Amino acid sequence: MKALAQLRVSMAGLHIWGGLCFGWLLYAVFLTGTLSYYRDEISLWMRPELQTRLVEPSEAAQRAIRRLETIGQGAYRWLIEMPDARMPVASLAVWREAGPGPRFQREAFDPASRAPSPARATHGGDFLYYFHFDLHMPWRLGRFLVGIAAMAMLVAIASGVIVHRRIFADFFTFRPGRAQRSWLDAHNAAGVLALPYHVMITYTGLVPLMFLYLPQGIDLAFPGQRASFFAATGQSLPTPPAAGRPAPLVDLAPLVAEAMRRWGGKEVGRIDVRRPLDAHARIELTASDASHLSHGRGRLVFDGTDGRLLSSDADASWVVATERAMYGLHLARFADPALRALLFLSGVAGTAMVGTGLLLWAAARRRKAGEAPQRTGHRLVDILNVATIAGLPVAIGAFFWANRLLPAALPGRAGWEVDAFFAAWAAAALHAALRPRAAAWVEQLAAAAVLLACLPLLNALATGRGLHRSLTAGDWVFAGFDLCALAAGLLLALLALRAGRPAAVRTRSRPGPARPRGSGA
Amino acid sequence: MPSLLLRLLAATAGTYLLAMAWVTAFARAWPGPPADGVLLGTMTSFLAGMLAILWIFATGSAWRASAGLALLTAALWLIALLAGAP
Repeated sequence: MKALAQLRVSMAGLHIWGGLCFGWLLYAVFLTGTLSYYRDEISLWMRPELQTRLVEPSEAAQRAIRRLETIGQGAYRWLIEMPDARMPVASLAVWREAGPGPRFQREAFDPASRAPSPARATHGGDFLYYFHFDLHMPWRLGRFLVGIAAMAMLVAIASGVIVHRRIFADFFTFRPGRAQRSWLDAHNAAGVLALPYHVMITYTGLVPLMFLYLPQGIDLAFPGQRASFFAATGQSLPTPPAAGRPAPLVDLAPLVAEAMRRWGGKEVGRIDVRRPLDAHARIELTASDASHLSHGRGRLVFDGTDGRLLSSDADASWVVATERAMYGLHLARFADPALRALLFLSGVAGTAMVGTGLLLWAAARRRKAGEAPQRTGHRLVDILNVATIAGLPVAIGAFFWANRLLPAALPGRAGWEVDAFFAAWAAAALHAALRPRAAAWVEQLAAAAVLLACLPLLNALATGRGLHRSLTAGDWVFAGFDLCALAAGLLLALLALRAGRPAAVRTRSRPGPARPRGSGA
Repeated sequence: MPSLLLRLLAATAGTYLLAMAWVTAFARAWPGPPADGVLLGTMTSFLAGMLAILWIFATGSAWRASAGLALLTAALWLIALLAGAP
């Protein structure tokens, strides 16, 4: 028994201090990652000019190729992300080797009008998606930080489970009072209720970037040929050397039809052309992942000049299939609306778990310190807590406001939206540092509440697609976004009210048997 | 304090070396296709690293924890060496 108690004490130390060090980063990753479940829907809301008109797939593919022939001259790679039920525009990308013109170029293309999408320039939901693993940092620094944080999260989950039964409660019960107990209850509830989700999302989150962290295996088994490893594991197609002789690209419609026949009617999700308009052109068709758990879906490679089928990934090994499935599980593009909502709520629980853990640390230290003057370290934790837990929602709100307020024709508009996000976040951090703790909480939670709750109003004023219209028209992307923003705003307003209640009014109660007292999150 | 620093060093740099050795052993010793060995080794290395970190902090003495980690890493390198070139 003594050894077990000792184990729990050491694991509690690991959980508490590891959680504190990485909590702020993990909160940001969880919140923006959770929003990424609705990446396409957020992108649509942020492009209100878009009309949802779908074009028959092989026709859409041909129209996209025509467009690429105009904008993609001299490129070694064209990529078409095909429109689907969640996203009516195609995404075109073009890569060029060194020379005049940009090396990489991206365009939202509307197959219905055969023209670039008329929508305002914005990164849309992609910004939040990339931020959740890239942190908008140069040199892949963000990806390394997020990877380290994910390892810390795995350790925190495992140590948290070991600690959970009794010591955890005892460890924090310096002087039991309601505030701290409710944060503990909320932390445990959010952590335990969605525990399998937390384990799944943290572990599968490491898989997509694992070769950035540990490239040694590839370099050992495939020295100097990473491309052939990725081709062998069904991840990407190597670009063949150019023949140097121009050749027209084969008609795409029969290839798309052949792919759909082989995949039992599943649609083409992406078309990857290497060496387009060259005699060595290759066309790779990948099945849509909208209805398929594994990220390794059907994949066919055709000769780009005569349309011969060159290879197919029909027989991947179980290891490759496992890796692709984990990748797919993390992205969750396969999820239908109900499952997507469940995953989103689990992600919210994960965010709440991390946030309440940070609050718990601060509340426990405050209680222990009593009336003694606050230590610098504790003050720093308080500032970072406000600036992250309340500051990030402020920044996200500012991002959406900028999307509606910035003129549609402003040059560099997409970048300004991102600047608004970071400017608001920086202002929140400054505000948290300058104001007393309690005031900072109330003011920032209130600011985030106003920003989010008023988004439907702003949307109704700025576009013709306000809530009254979208609800009657059955436009569930717009109605859903507006209603979710309203709900998030109301939740933040409740938290602001709660934070604003003076501590003396809270009735002190003796700690009863561990029983969840409301969510508190 | 020195014991905590040692644990932290073992849980960061030490665990990364363990993960590298783990991946190397899989890449070299996996009997199936080499790409499978690399994938499997890299995927499981995170779990191995997590268990190693838990063990480093659960073990009573920081020196014993570090020695155990070093021993395990050495054993994996040995497996990789014995298995030879992929």
